[in-house]
Amino acid sequence: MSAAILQGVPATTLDTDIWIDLPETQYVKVLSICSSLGGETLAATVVSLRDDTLVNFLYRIDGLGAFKTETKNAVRLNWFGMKVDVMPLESIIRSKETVGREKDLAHLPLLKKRSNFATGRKKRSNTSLQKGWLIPASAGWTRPRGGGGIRAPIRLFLVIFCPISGDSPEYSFNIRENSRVPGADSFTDTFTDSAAGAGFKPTSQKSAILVAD
Amino acid sequence: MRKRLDQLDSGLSEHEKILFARSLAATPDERWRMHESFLRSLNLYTRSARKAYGFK
Repeated sequence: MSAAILQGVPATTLDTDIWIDLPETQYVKVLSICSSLGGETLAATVVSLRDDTLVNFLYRIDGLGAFKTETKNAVRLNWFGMKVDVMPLESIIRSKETVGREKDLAHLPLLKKRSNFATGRKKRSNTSLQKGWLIPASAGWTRPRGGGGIRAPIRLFLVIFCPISGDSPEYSFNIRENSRVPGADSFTDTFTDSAAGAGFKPTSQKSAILVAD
Repeated sequence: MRKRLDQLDSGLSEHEKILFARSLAATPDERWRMHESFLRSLNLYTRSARKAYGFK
């Protein structure tokens, strides 16, 4: 959902998904890079960075086309001084509709309302936002009304496509490892250097594509 | 913007309209900070803090 957040969807996310343009069989390489950066491997595709940020590496996303295809539709945003190519809302919606998990479906009303607003379409929806969900949907950036406390928190996440080898357009990460510290080194630079050291083709463009899963 | 929101979908409550208006008017950086602030307000920003609520 980070990509959606950056595009104005009032939601939150708990971890970051990064879609890397590599075969899934090479996931160990990615984990070793993160490990060399001080990250803690929690699962085959999940890493906790030094600042406690959760990152989930993906090698494909259901409902979307190939990496190369999706990057062509990216929306470029300026995010903390970096140019970031973000997956358009329509693609995010398509992916969530395909995956169809409960948390994905819970996001659809918000995503569609934001998408409709962007296109100027007037649409009357019979589906109210998911009231009562703490993190997604209507809760947005405020606490749920009525003091309901934490109910059914849902893991939402951001995806960054990261082609770092082969014939794909060259991109590098654009996640700031610690955005709370002004001027902190970005994860982009560190990862790029480490990727090169690990035998990956160094990136030449400091951009990435963000998509919400 | 408020007028556009009103025209877009009457199904939004006032509260939701405000959330949308704030989000739409913000820059990507501001949107991300609001998102982070929201998590911090609930002590859900870091993974270690989230463990207290049962997150893995």
